[in-house]
Amino acid sequence: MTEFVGFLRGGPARDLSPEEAQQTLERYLAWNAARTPSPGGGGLSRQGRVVDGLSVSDGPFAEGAEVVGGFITIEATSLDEATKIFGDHPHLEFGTIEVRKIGEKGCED
Amino acid sequence: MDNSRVVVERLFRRSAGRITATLVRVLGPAHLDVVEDAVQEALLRALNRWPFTGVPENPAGWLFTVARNHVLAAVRHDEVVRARLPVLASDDVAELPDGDDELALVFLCCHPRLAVASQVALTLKTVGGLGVGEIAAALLTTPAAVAQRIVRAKRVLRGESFSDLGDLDAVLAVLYLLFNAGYDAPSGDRVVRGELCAEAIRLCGLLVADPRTDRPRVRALLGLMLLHGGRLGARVDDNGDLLLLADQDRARWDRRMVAEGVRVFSSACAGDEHSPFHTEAAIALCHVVPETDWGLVVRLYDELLAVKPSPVVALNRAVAAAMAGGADPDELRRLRQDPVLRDYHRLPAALGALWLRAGEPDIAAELYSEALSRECSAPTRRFLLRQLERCR
Repeated sequence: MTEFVGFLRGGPARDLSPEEAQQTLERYLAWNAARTPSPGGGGLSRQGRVVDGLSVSDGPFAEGAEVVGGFITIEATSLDEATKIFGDHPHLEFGTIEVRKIGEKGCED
Repeated sequence: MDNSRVVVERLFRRSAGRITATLVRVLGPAHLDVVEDAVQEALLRALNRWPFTGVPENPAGWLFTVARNHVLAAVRHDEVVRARLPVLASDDVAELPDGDDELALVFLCCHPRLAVASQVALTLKTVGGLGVGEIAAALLTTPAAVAQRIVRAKRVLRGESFSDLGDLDAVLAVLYLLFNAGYDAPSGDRVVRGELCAEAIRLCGLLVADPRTDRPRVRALLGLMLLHGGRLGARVDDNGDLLLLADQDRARWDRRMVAEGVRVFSSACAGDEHSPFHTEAAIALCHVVPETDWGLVVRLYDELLAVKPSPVVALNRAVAAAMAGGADPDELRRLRQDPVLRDYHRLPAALGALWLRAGEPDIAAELYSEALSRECSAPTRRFLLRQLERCR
């Protein structure tokens, strides 16, 4: 088994009612709960710093839909399978998920 | 990540109302916008974080803390408001207080300076934690209209104070409307409407629980809502189709809620206060006993008409009179001409049922057709089509 990471970009909009927001949250949680082994992951702050060697600036200055809000790691046998697993994630209703293999021997293709 | 913890049902909705109440108490009604913004931010942040971190141990406290910090940041340049803030800044992860603040917020939302429609919308939004779209669906209007009402209402409330419990009867009237909107709406989402009934019952329960507002008429209203609410599940069949009273399956009642309604209403009758809510609760009580005494129901409707004359009550009386022995054709004709009832969505269907009972299927069929020509929910439509079949 190989580990894959999904970067979740964008996210639910502000105009959800409390009940809609909770239902959305529950769908995200249910997606996690339905996976074995349990997925890993973490949230990311919306703002940070960009370091380019010469200077440090606030950022990233991506559009809202392009900001990575969090990441989820799963196990799968191939990129295709990992893509399929992320394919029914409720986040896709609000944004995109970028699926990448976590390299086992440094930088792999 | 820890997936073991789930979110309790309606946590966001309930927390939204309670956090709003607490923060508005501290900041004052003028800052309702800032507070709502902060609550929205807290919910959104939970939504963006909890899927990755798991649900925190004290989710309500987490939401409150985030909302509070957001408010602190928003008002950091406002000296006057900042002076009040030590109350808020006291501890780190706060426990969410309940009860009193929420009640005060209900009274604020039902402020006599607001039109009734605005009171209802604002109560649902700020206390009930419903979204503008949900409120619009429940009140049969557009989201834009609801949003506009709420904006205007907040403007009116800017100068008002928060702590006083104001006009109790205005609050009762709003709760009554809220419940009816859930119970009696001609269309709209059934789940949302169930929520309205539950919210009205919950808020009325708060009034009864507080000695300052615990009056017999408040208990009568709570009893009335529980007695009707307990029968809510039996009003429709498995397909969500409306059922006639006679066809309703009593096994589908919420027995505990009905029993609670009987108990609360009995306690409402202890004093010497008598309100229209008492009369209506008594009528509701007639419908939960094994054999409804329709003669008594008619007399109770007469009593209600004397204190609260309304064509809808007159229509209900006519229905009861038909059940008691026979409808008066003159009365039915008069009701059909009533200008107030003309737009009442249940009028043609109710009159159709009465004419059918009176042995006039042709007139009944005409009325059911008229009912079908109006806007109504799919279940209501199926019900009317079935009734129309009976006329042939």
